[in-house]
Amino acid sequence: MSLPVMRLRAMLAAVLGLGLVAPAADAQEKQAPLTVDGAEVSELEDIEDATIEGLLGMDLSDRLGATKAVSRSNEEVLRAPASLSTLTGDQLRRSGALTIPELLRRVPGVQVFRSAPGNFVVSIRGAGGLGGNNVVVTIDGIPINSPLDGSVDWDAVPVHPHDVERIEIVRGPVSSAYGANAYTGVINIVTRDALGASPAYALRAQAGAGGDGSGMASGSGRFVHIGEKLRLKWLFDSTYDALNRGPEGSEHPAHSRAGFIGKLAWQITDADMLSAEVGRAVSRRSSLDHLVLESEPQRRELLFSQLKLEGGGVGVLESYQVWARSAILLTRTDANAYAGFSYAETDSNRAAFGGDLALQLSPVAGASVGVVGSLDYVSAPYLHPTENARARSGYGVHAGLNFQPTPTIDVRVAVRGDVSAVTGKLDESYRASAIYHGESFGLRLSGATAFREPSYVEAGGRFVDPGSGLILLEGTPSVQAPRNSSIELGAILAPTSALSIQPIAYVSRFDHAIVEDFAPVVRRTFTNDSGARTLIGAELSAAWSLNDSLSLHPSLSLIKFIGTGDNRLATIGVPEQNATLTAGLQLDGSFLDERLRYGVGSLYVSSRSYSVRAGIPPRIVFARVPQAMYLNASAEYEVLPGRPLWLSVRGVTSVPTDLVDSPLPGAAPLGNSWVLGLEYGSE
Amino acid sequence: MRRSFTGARFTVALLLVAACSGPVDPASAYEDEVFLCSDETLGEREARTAECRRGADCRGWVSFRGTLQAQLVTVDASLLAVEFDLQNAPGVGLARDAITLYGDSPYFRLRWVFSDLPAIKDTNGDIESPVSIHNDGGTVESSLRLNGGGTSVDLPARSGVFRTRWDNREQVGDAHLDFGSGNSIDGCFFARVSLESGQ
Repeated sequence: MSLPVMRLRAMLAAVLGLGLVAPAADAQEKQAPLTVDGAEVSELEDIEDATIEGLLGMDLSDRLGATKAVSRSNEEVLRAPASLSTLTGDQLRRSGALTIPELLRRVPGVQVFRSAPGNFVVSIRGAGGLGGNNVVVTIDGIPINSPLDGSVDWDAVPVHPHDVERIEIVRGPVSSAYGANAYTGVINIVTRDALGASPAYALRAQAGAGGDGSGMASGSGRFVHIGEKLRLKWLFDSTYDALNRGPEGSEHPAHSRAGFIGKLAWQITDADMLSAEVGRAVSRRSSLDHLVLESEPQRRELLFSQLKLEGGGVGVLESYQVWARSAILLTRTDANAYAGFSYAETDSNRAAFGGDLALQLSPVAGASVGVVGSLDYVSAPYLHPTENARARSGYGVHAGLNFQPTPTIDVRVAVRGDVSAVTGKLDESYRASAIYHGESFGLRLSGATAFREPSYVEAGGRFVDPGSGLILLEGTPSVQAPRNSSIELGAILAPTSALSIQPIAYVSRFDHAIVEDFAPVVRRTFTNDSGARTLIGAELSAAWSLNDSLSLHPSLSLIKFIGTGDNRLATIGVPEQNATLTAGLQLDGSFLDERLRYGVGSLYVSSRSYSVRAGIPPRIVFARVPQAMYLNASAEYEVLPGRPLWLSVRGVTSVPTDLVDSPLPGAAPLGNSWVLGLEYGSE
Repeated sequence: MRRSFTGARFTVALLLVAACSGPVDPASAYEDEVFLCSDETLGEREARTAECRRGADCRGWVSFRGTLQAQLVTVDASLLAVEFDLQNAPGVGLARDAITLYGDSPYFRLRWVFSDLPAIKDTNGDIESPVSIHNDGGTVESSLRLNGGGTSVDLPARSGVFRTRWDNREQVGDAHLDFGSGNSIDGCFFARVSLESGQ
């Protein structure tokens, strides 16, 4: 596949994908479709024979393609029962972002805090919390949330942004498909396969320097081989980043990481595939989080793996998959470096196994069912002695129905029940949606509920002051799972083949928020906020193709709290009774017959204020983050025509440059992050 | 600190499936505390007292049970320190005016004060009559200060009953105190002289 055609395909992905929605698969018939976690990878083998006019003339549903990210079963994006944004690999390259969280900041409805190099909290629709545990994050469908508390260590994603095929962001409650912690959404990172000839490979190096003499450097690469029966993928990434660590004397440690992802797949028959995938990351970064207000170095290791058998296409059996997964997160800290608490010597492990079936009962009706079981083993010095280092099991069942009363109307319902390994309680979640669509539009009304599983810390933690021996914070086993109920109205409009618009409006209500009850001196613990928080929000993204080499991507999101519960001060990590407005604009283009391709963009984020209880012992922090602009740019130049050697410059500047966008005390400023890069490799 | 990655740990965990624990259900540390002031714990109380007498550094113990800040609380603590304030009382001479007890519970440090004690000359073996707290028309003031996690709360008693006895440089006492707002405790203590001050 020639490079210009690849650029054309990428441009189409961006444009037809409604700004941030890109086709996950296409309507072109493939001889041997590539799959990643069951979802077809974007590849148009016949694209070189296609014309842009022909592609633009495709039906909207075909243009948008299919995804498994919303319901965990393959479905057309146009008929998916929740909001989906897809960032393509090309958008990743052109964004200038050096990390995946920095890129996610651009997605309407996604909030990102950076507190130190490598430390990010990503939340969706204003309700993520500083724990960062309200979102399920998967790599190729494998969850990487910490079994300890559901949080996500973004530094432990062992893949360079350029080796990402796409990132799918599902916004809104989706526990009916994913179970616990899909409270406000799901982020699925799909690693890149070969797009052209096989084997495909890439090697790249990046380096940058800050004004204070600090620097960063990274090396990464990819090797993909697709044979007749066997497919092999190997990605690696290593980074050292000492940029923007904060003022001298209180700076955070430099961040470093090394990791890899390997995948081996065996095409057993035309329809059945067995795959094994394993990933590992080792990182060293600041310990800072909302309980540990320390900037001391912390070492983390993440190992995730999956063995999966999938296939289908027999009779009513549309698809099946049986899988076993594990996620292991180990944390180590130099105990001598700490004056207070740390997550030292924490082992959190979760093994899960399950299966899913999708049935096509009739031409207009389908169903899906699935089961999942899990086993946790968590060992941490800050858990209650009687609850520490124990194995615990949980399980869940889910079912869904979809029905097409007419060719233009889809009705979908899904229900799931999960018994938590932590609390042993049953939590239900539901989703119902009705979608009306035509050739150039789709309208969706959906309602859903989701829950977040109480963490081991919230249910069984015991933080003891090493100096006095007093218990400063203790878990409450009776704490209820926080719930999110949301109603959403969304549309996908494509008035012309060059313009697409995706407006969304929603109302979300959050009940049983878990808050730290620090008022009683006699026992500080966690409790459920008796009041509900309610917010309304709107999101808008669009894509406008000005010509074959220039496209524009405006985005807008607004969150307005209209109720904040009884315990406002205990609210953690969400803007307090104020509105948050973000607006972005991205321009992507190319010159010199695609030899120079670039992207420039800006993102405005309005000021936010927070009331945060942080640290142990806790203190109340009132933080006001000023309004800011994030300016990003990237440029890549093909040094020698026909040779896959690319010279690049990319980065992000925040204005003001000393902006601290985290409400955590001691967080480091964003500053400037600009790097020069060199990449050699095939597509 | 740098332990190598041990997949074997996880394997061991998997092998524990058969011995899988139930959901997390930790007991409050108060459940491990013993309320020493009841008839049922007389033996325990006497054993603690005897053990304390054998230790030169032991200052005594304090125990109470009740509701504080809407939580059921049981405390059984060794005293970190005891202070006796002495005053010259007309016709009595030097007499104890106040007793201050310092101790730790699992969750907080406590300071329990009894002041404006009746000016009764120390007489070994005497048992003082029950006295009411100031606000209840009595003479003794009592307050409980709880301190933990960088914050503290003072609970002055609004009513109650306090009995105490001085015997061979040891003070014992028991009290029922109501602090208002649903806060009340029953408690007792055994204290040995560690510091005496006064006029």
